[in-house]
Amino acid sequence: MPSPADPGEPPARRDGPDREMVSFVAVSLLSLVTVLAQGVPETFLGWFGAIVGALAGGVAAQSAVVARLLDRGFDVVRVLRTVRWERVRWVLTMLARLTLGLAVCLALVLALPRAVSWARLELDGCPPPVALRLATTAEQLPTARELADAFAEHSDGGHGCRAAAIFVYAADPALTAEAVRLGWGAEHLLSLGPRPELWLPGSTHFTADLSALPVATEVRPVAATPIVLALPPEGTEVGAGPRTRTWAELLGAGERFGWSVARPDPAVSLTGHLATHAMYAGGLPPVDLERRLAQGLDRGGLPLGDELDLLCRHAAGGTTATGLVVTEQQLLRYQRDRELGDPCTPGGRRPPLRAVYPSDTLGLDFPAVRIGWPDASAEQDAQARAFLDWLDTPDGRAALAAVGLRTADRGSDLPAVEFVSAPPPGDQLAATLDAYERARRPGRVLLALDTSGSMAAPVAGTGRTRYDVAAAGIADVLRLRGPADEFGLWAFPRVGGARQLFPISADPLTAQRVETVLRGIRPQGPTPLYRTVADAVPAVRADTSSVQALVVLTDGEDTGSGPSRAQVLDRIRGQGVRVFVVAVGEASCGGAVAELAEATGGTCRQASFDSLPGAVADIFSLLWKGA
Amino acid sequence: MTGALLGGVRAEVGRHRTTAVGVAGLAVGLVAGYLAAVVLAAPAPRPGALEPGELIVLSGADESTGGQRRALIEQWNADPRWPDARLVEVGGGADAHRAEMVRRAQAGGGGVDVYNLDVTWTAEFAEAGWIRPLDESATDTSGFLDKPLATCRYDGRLWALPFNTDAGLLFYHEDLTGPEPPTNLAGIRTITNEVFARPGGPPAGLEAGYTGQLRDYEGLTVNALEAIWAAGGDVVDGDGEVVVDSPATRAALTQLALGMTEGNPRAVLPASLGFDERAGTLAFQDRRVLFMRNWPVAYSQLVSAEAGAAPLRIGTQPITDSVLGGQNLALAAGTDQPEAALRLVEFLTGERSQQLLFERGGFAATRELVYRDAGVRESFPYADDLLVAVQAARLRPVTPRYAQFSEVFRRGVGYALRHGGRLPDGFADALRAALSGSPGGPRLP
Repeated sequence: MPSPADPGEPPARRDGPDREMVSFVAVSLLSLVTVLAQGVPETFLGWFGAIVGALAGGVAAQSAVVARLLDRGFDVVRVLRTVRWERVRWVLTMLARLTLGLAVCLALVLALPRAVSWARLELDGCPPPVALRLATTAEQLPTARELADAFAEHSDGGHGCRAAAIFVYAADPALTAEAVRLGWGAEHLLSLGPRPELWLPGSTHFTADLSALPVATEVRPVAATPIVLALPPEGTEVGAGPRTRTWAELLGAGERFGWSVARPDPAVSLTGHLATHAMYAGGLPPVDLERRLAQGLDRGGLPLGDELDLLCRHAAGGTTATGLVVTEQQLLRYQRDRELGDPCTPGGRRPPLRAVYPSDTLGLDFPAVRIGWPDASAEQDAQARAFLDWLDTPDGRAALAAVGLRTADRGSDLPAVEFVSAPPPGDQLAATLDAYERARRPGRVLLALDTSGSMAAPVAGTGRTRYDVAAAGIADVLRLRGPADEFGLWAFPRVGGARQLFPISADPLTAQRVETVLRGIRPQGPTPLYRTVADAVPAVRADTSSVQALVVLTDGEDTGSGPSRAQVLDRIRGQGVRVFVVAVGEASCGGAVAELAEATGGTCRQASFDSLPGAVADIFSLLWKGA
Repeated sequence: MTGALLGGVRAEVGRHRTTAVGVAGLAVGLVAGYLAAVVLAAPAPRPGALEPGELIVLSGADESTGGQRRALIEQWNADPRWPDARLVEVGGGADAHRAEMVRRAQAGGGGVDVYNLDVTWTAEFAEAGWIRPLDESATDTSGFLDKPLATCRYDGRLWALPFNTDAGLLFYHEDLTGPEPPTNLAGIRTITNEVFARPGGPPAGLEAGYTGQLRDYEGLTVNALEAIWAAGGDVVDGDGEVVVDSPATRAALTQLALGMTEGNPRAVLPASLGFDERAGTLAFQDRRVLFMRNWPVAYSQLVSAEAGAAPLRIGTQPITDSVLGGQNLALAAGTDQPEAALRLVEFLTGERSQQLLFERGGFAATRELVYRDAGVRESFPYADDLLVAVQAARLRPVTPRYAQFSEVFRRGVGYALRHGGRLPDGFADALRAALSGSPGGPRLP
């Protein structure tokens, strides 16, 4: 390429080298290099944008307007200073054009993706909504799902798209509070689930310790609901009457008129815990009260569980002579045919229940909690705030009313009742739980342990077999035993011809003795599950006031031991012995064992080998430590 | 061209050394410095060494026998050349796992380097920019089975490597049905009637012919798709068009629905409407049914439940048009260790790892060679059937809105199963709305 002509002689531009072309190509190339250096385009669109942008930069640098502006600029400088600027004018022109070209090119390339994303929204539909996670209690899971759906439907992300979607799941509230305090580490991800931005724990009882946290949390009471006595209509006609009676008077009326009362287990249900507090505070002697409430559960064939468990069992054909202690909210959901939890099969006409409002009842204050994790995105934060704010709008209050809760909005058709929704101080509630533990009836429990061949399989990463893990969990469970509790231990299949390792008795038994016996067993053989259950239930049955239960720990299903499912069911139903099942390994609560449990007011608990000791302990703490 | 430019400048300098040299030098310096700056600031090419720092793999809970995924990561960690990796597991099932992954992705990464994605999530994560594409020219994809590898592709690019695969098998009680199982529900009904009509009556406890996973969760999507495909129908065709409203679809769903309500014995166990994989396996093991559709992992459960007892005579047969299951490992878009993460993914999907995962954990391998291994074939007599099923399996609709699609599809199919096979009004439109993400969203009864 020849050198450029003397810049001082304008005519040279016409016959000399094409200066415009030189600078056009140079600017375009530099622009392209600049764009590519930001990252090599990965799509056709990207390449297209980069090349068009670079060419546009080159053109911009060459435009006549720019040339004239530059000329003017040089003229001004020449007038001001008498330097011979023409000498370097060419170089300066090139630099100025280069800068300008690059600026134009970059502006174009940066603007392109935005234009494309706008076009995409028009063509491709809504972008993914901001996903949030909401933890709640097992009792409030269906309620929280309904609220989350209503919010998502309402949330506006522009163009009619949804701005937010909420994943709702259940986690123990006390453990959730602790996990939030500890920053929700890997162990909490595995044991509880994803890290939540939102939490509906049911009561501010669980949020008391959150104020001193390093994470910014916001606790807003948004609604309330009183704890009521849900009675079949017959019951209300025989003495429960209008709402001027206390819990003590209502329980007394039940005694006189021949109906009983069942209450959710205070250890797993906040409703049960608060109701117990109110009843004890009403002056009822705990031992007497617990005896009557236990009768209510047994007579109604009701499970030891939370309020949804009680309502679900009632929905499936409850007895007419048992009233249930539940929140008004869950009763409304029952009456409105809403879901009563995942394990509860929907369908069928629900037997009617009506609310009786004790004058000295407590309630839930239903806080909505937002956890402002420091590493959350601005959008996640904004949508979490939006959920709390929405609960306080007419829309949100309507959604709360639709799930049966009372809000600040008057005008609902719910009767005006006085109740305290703020939880009693934590130490008082703890004292109530202590008193309950002392007053409840003792347990008469037989544990049947699966010693079949499959239990000899190793458990990942522990170096122990399934049987070792189970045996350790059983020995451990003896810690939970109170002085009046009875315990027995069977093995199936028979070990050396005998299945009774320890007969049921109230005799003290050390963990060591149990361990020694268990250690001597080598798991082998089939799984005569049905035969064992059919024989064990009559063995537990005794004429005592104790809660009677068979706990079966198994890693598989029955292997043709004799009786059929139906025969076992016939044999164990209505015996007053609850069958609990801990299903591990290949066993499942989706199968027949769950049916056995359900038919007797027991439960089936699916567990991994990690969570097995906890699952066994949970069941025994429901049953034991009675007076 | 730049040379010409510089040549021009040089000439200029030569002629007007005294006045122009400073300005021209400045110009050259500026341009050269600028070029050097942009080139040096560009992303560095693949270096030889792996970036240091702990690699985080976010996955669902590893419930395999022996926690084989955890064990494999420990093997990786035992090699001092590689940075340590940690498997972070999310409990609570697939939806909970996805919720945690989306949380981190939407917050800009959350420290994750590798996501373990269900095969149906690849498109969503790719489209949202939460995972980074793999450079196919630099990634060895040879040896992978075609179908699992296909679930790693979206929009013409490779986004992941297949970790484990899955395809449905038809299980049957060979002692009752004989060794030649039928290939469709009509055949199952025939054999069921035969077994019940045998002299001496049916075996105790036998209730119906067939069971599958018809509870309202992803299992229902899988079972319904397979039924529709088996009848020659489809839900979304190759061009992404919704073609669900066809005689074949109606026939397939009607057959399933009526199988639960008509005939004695029933061709389909009515309780299947509440069954997931585990519950179906138990019903089959209890010999309440003759046939069961399930994933191969059910085989190990059936066998280990039988330890010590008389062995079950269980036959398996590949399902002709099975849904392809499995999981893929993808690099998080926000990872600051892309090289190391890629190496880890290559390790976990490599031949040796695939063999260990299959042999010890029962995860169906994504590499064909593993199926030829003598040890594998001995432990898993269904290995041949599985390989056939995987090779013939079909992908669920590939769409970034798969979750919404599946939810609407299940709602419609669930309705059909409870209404004698009748599709709900507006089913096809609701599916279209779900797939296109149209504002307002899908509506179904």
